[in-house]
This record gives sequence, C-alpha cells and structure tokens, in this order.
Amino acid sequence: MNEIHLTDDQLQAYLDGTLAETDAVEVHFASCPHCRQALEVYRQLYAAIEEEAAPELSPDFVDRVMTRLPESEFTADAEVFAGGFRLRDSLAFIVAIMAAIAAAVYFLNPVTLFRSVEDVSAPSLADNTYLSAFLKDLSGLHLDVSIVLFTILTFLGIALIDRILAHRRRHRKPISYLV
Amino acid sequence: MQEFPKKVQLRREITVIYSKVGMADQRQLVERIVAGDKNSFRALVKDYQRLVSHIVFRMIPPGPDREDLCQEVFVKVYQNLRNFRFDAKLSTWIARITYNSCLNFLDKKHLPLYDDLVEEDRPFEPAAPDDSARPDRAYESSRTGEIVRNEISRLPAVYKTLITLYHLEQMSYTEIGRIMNMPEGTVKSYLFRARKMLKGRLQAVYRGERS
Repeated sequence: MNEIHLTDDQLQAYLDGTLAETDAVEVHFASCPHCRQALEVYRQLYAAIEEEAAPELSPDFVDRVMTRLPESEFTADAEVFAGGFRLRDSLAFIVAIMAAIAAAVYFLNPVTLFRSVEDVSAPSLADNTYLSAFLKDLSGLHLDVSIVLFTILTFLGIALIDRILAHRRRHRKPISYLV
Repeated sequence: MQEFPKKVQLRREITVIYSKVGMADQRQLVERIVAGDKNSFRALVKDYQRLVSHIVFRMIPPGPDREDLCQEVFVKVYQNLRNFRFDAKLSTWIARITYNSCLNFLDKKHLPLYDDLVEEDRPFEPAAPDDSARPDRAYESSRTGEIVRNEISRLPAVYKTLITLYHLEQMSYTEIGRIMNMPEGTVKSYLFRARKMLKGRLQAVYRGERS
C-alpha cells in the first residue's frame, strides 16, 4: 500500500468529504509521508481559496440598483397576490357588461322574451307588499323590473367570478423556475 | 488529519440545514417584494450582492461592465421574482440568472467561456515572479494566498466560477450543476481538474523560487 499513492482526485474527494473509503485512506496517511505532504498542499490550497475577499462594489451600488427598477412592476400583482379584490378592474368590467346589456336591450328588445319566460315560470313579484311598493317606484322610473334585477344579478355574478379568478391566479402552478 | 474533511462536510450540512430553515423567511421576503415593498428588495440586494458579484467578477474580464452587469442582474431578479415558486433556493435561482446573464454578455462580446480547458497541457509560466521569495518558508499562508489569487485569475472562466461557487459560496455539486446547467459528475470533474491545476502551479512557483 505504501508504494501506491493516492491520486489527486482521491485527495480532493477526501477533503470534500465525498470519499467512501475514508478509513482505509486514513490508515494509508499514517504510513505514507508522500500522501500526507500532498494532502497538506491541498489543505493549504483550500484555505487560500476560501480566504479570498469578496469583490468590492461601489458604495452606492444598492442605490443605483433601486433607481434602475421599473416603477410599478408589482402594483397589479400586489393586489392579486395579497388576495385582494381588484376593484378598479372589476368595476371597469362590470360597466362594460352593463353597457353591453343596455345595448342588447335597446337594439334587440329582449324584454318581451324575458317577460314571456317570467310569465311561464316565475311567480309574480308584485304579490309581495313591500316589493310591490318598490316595483311601483321603479316603474315610475320607466324601468323594466326584470332588466334591473337581471343587471343586479349580473353584477353579483361578475364580482363572484372575478374573486374566484383572483384567488386562482394567486395559487396558480409555477410557470417556470429558470429565467 | 481527520478534522479538516469532517469540518468541511459539517459546514456544508449546517448550510443545508440553515437553508431549509431560511426558506420560510425567504418566502416572506419574496411575498413582500411582490406586494410592492421596495425596502425588502433593497434588503435582498444587500444579501445577495456578494453572490452576484462573485460570479460576475469571475466570469467577466475586468472593466466597468462588471458592476453594470451586476446591476442588470438585480433588475432581472426584480422583474422575474413573481415567477419564482420556491422549487429551489433563492440563492440558486439568483445565481442561475447571474450565470446566464454572464453567458449572454460573453456571447455578445464574442468572449470565450470554455477556452483553455486543456490549459494544463501548456508550458507553465509563473504569474508573478517575486523578488522577496523565501524558500525556507515556502508555504507561508499569505504568500500562498497571493499566488493562489493570481493563478485563479488565470484559469478559464468556467473553472473560476466553479471554484467560487464551491469554496466561497459553499454550494453543493448539485446546486452548482443547476446553476451552470451541468451534470453533477461534470461539476465534480471540472472542479477537481481546476484545483489540480492550481496545486500544480502553486508547487511550480515554489520550485521556481527554490531553484
């Protein structure tokens, strides 16, 4: 064994703690001055490498990084990431839907269709005393009750869908790990 | 003789344990940054500027481009932090961005990365002949440190980066492989080869001083 010396790879693996047969190697070191010397050289090399100081950056390096950052990178994400309800975007979407409904009412006159459905399936809303007063007020505004109720339900449905989508966006699966 | 390898392995195990414990803190930090907290990002820059500068300064030749590239790396980190899903350590992710940025820079400037990987075949010339050589104190640590630093600077960029990530950033072969997109076996092989080159050069310098 004394005539067979450890290779550089074995010496490095021993120092890295990845050599399997460390016991046999240590027995060899005890009887082989050549390998002890070689190991000592590597030990000093490792120590010299690890003593090196980190590169010096400008004192204002961090400040300069901060000034280079884009302004509103995370504003929209912040609201979603925090699980918040994106009111601004939701309102815009709701207004758009209501405008579409109003346009449909104006051009396609779905009132007749809706009323026919209501006549067939739904009980009359005017039977309720409190509601009838409310409906009377509404009718004074020349608004069709079914359109108003339909719009309110649409508003609530859109708000619910938006909240669900915001929640799913926050917990979506990773797209990529590496840039 | 038993102490040194066990100390190295113990240090890496402690680093792994600390990393696992620190993942929760990292997650909170990232969440605060994504929520718009720029002070948290400032803290991230301070925490990781050493890692980024280590890689950039090893891979990019000296010049003003180095610090500019370090800044660009952190801007990229900021812009892409929303895509980070904690399937690796934050340091590994940032190091990977840094390494890729350096590769892109070297490619743009038509500078080599894998050049001179067989440099051990070249005749060796000592980096810095020293008139104050003291052969009787050949392994004095400060002298060794100076020689090692000079010789590291002359290694190919890949070897320099491997040595930096392993010895100065205490990263494992697996992490280094993820950063540099290399199999673990290749990381180990290149690292061993780089250190063998350094050892040979160190011994040659001292042989030259004695002669």
